[in-house]
Amino acid sequence: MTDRMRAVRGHVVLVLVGLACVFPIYWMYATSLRRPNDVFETSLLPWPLSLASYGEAARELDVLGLLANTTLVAVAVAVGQLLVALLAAYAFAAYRFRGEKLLYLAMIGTWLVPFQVTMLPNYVLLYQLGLLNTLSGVVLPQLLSGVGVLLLRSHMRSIPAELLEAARMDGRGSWGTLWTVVVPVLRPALAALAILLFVTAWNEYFWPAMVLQRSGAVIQLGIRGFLGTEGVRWGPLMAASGLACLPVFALYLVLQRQVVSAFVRSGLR
Amino acid sequence: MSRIRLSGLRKAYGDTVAVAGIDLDVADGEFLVLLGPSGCGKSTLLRMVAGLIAPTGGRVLVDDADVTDVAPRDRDLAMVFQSYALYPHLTVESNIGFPLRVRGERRAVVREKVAAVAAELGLTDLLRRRPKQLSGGQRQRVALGRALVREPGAFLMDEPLSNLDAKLRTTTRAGLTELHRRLRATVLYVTHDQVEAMTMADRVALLDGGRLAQVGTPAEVYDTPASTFVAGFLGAPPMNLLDVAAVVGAHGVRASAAGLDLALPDDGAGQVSPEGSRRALVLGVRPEHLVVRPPGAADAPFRGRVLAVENLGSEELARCVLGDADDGPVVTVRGARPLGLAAGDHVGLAVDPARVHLFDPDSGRRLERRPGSSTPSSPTPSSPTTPTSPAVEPGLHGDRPLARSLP
Ligand SMILES: Nc1ncnc2c1ncn2[C@@H]1O[C@H](COP(=O)(O)OP(=O)(O)O)[C@@H](O)[C@H]1O
Ligand SMILES: [Mg+2]
Repeated sequence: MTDRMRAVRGHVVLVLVGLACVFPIYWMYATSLRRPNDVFETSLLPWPLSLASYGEAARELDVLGLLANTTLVAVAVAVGQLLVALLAAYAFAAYRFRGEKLLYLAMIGTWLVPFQVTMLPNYVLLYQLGLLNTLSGVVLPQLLSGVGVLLLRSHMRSIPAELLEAARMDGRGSWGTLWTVVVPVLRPALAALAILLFVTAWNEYFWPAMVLQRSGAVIQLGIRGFLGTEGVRWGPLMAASGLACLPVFALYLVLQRQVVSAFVRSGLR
Repeated sequence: MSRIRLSGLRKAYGDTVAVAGIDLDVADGEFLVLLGPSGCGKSTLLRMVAGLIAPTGGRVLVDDADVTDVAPRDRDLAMVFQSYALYPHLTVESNIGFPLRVRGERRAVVREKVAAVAAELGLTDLLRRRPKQLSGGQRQRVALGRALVREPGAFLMDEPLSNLDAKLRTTTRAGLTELHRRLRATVLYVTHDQVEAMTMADRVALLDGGRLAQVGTPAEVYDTPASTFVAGFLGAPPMNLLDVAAVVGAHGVRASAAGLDLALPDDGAGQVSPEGSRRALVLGVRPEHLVVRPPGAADAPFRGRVLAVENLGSEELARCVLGDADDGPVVTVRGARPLGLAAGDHVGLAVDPARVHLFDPDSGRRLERRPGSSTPSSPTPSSPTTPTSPAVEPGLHGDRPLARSLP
């Protein structure tokens, strides 16, 4: 009986927390679906529905083009970070070499150094390389993810040594072992990390804003246009934001199983 | 099949010496078992042979080729791991075929060979499964199949049965022996389980703290242990080892301790040494060679009291304390059930003098009796001598004749 009570209480708490998490997202879509004159209404259900805000957003912004650009940047950053983290973590997990600890700490260190510290040097460097106002300028300085290295290394360490030795006995070199054994075994962890990195890159606002300067390259900057000096235009702002969130939700839906299992398992370790 | 030779093989981790210079020859087609307690360096030795660990010193030769610096893939050795180390993301079929695909063999060839091996190991119906969906015994067979399919020069196995339950272990043991006979395969097999060693091995190499304690057939290492370590490791329960004083008397040498007065086989020692001289010895008797006699029987050199009796089903074990004190030396007696003993009983124990083993108390080495002395069944020294086993001279006792060594 008390077990049951405890379970019920736990679920009540979880439901409340869940609602608190979901509500802002719901409110964003609710606002975007109100008629332009109703955006300040506080009724829970947006009624009558209207797509006017979406039309307004689409008229002023090249939503599809911006989304495509954003996707390009986010995918490039996430894939780049994943590859770098994979190779680095493999080296740290599988080899002992001189300066290993120092290098590892340096990589983890990049995660601890605040963005504000590196932003100006990076900006100057990009200027000297002539990469300002380019998408590659946004991507390049972000290629190393300290968290990615940290996470993948600990996952790789949990692979039984005998498995890697078996691959060696069966004739695989280290490169072959990485792609035919390590990557398939770590697939859930890699999927989870990929999503994490993609979402982080997708939501990145400030750095693209600095590098690209003109407000027309990625969607997060486009949205800024609705925060005008004469007031915030909530309808199109919410509509564009809602659209900007869709790819992330879609990705999560597709890879949900892997993400949940990876997070659950790394939590148990 | 290949022959494997190790010469002076050594591995140290900092100050820890895991393997301390091993010379060993595994003949073509031989099933050699490396036996020893946990932590004695068996796995380290096997991994050096496999090429997974670089030795600190010494050489590994396969068929006369020095492969010490050759990569594992080029040694033509297959390994079966204790954890089986199956690729979790691959089906049974892909697991077994993995080494062939790495070699770049054609798909059809791989399929054919995998099918043949799977049929041999009774895995045909499981080819589509993944390791997670298999029982322990099935996983073990898949691991074996992955080694078999390569048709390697030799098999290296690191405790491949230790994760199976007792019953499955027995049947798998028989299966492995059968497989070895049929393939005439060279096998270097690591285990801490003496039953596996005794039942499967052509020869057993006992390892103690990174050194070879003895190499010989199962019968040799059991019947003529080269040291107190070997004597105390083999047998369940192992050999009784007692500290005794050997005293030269008018009628030969007698071993004595609390509750023990045993005439050692007459080697003419009495004529050589002065009466009354003594020497410390370790005396060994296997529990199954002790015979229960009535207390006080004239032919029972051991005299003691039963502490406890254990029922093993077909046999019984009795632990007896020798002498009158409670803290005297303890020996174990093993015999067909019932032994006719109960805790607290006074008991006499007899032994065939030919079944008595003597060891040097300092070095722990076996003291060998002269062949052809009064003990006709006296054991002959095991033929493959090891660096640590004493060079046996035709004399009274091993390196030092007992009588002459008495002060
Ligand atoms: N990588 C290592 N670093 C330090 N010591 C090790 C290492 N591997 C093994 N050892 C030590 O070497 C000894 C032998 O180990 P091992 O060969 O695994 O023994 P076994 O297989 O007989 O149980 C042990 O004392 C162990 O602690
Ligand atoms: Mg081991």
